[in-house]
Amino acid sequence: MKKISLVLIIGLVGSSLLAQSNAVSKHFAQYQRDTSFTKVSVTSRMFSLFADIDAEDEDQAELLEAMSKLKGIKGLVNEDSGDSKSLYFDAVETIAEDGAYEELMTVEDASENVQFMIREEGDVIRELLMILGGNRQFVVMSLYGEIDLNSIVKLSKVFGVKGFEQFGKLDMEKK
Amino acid sequence: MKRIKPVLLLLFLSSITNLSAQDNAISKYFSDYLFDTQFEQFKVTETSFDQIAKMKSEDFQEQQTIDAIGDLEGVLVLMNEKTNNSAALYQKATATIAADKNYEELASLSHGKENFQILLREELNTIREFLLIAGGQEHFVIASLYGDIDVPTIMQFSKVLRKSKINKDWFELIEDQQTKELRFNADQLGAPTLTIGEENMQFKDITVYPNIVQDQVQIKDTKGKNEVYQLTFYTLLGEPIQMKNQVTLPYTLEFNNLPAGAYFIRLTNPSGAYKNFRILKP
Repeated sequence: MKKISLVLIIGLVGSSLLAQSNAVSKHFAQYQRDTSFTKVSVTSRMFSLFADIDAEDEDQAELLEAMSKLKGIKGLVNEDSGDSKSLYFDAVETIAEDGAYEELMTVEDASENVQFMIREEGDVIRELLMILGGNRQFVVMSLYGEIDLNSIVKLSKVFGVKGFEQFGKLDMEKK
Repeated sequence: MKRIKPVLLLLFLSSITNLSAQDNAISKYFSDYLFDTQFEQFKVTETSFDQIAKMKSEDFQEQQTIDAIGDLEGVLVLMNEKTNNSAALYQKATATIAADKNYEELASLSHGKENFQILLREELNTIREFLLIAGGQEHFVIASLYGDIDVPTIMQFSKVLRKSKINKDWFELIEDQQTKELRFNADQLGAPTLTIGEENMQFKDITVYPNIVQDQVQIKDTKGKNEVYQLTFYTLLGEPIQMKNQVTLPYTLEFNNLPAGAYFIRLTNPSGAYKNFRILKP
């Protein structure tokens, strides 16, 4: 009996250590079952493959280096929602309640709202979260691992995942 | 003693099946689909990759890339475009692979009824397979690229393709009922820019062992020929570490003091023909 319970405890602790703590997993699991939402996930193993590639120039080397520090990307996209703005406000409120996230930048206009948030651990940004609503589109995208905002801005110009180009807006922040 | 025997027998049997089975997810878990007429197949066999590997390049890095292509064992794609059961097939396939701890997910996407997942399988620090599983409205696809996959080196292949003037005449698409095979056959088509691997023939009796090394590598001529070689020893980036003229075989190369990584041993014979052997120190 003693042996079994020890294994169970280790299993529980182990799995919580391994579980990816990011906003999408925690707060948006409800959308996982809804087929009107597109879900994207890229794991650290994918990014680690990029780390081994030889860059052709310095720009590429920087991008590859930034990607190798990412532990993952998780995204939720709804491309055709009549409720996109209310989905946006709900999402922002949910994350604000979490307390671990700090608002970085918000751009709101008549047609579209975008908010960027970060979760920090000490000096390191562990997660960069983007919530977008408007024009019938709703996007939540979480980048987690070790985030360097400058590199993310550069990545946004070349990374083909839908919604990722929004991270380019952070460029204004850096200036 | 009685207890040990069944275990040994099991190990022995499992090693035999590993040797004979093709090393990819389709042969291992989905071989039924190979005989299912609803599935079309597309493949590239090891022979084609060996043909591509006969190309020669003066450029060291390009040659590495060509050699890496030679380490691929195959591409196998199964497609079912007649099913109305694709969601269930997709679930079953992804669950089967998820249960095999050797596979790691790289990315996944689900968009309405379209789902796909890309995974890799790694063994002993070498990537052995890339696997794609996709299920959509009326289609279900499993695709595998398998062999020894050296991702950074192979990614350079598009550069080699651009420079080498390979053209579509060198490829043949052979169709046989449900199966399509892409064959690369340069020597039959008489391509002038491709050097046929005669030099490889000159080195066919040379063995370099082990190729995953701890401290020493032995280079031998299995026929015991008394040829004199120049031996050059390179890092992955083409930096020479050692060069010796007048090397006779058998010859032992010390790896003790070298850092982990991939290396090349190049043997050049008196007529100038050479062959590169890849060694990995983990």
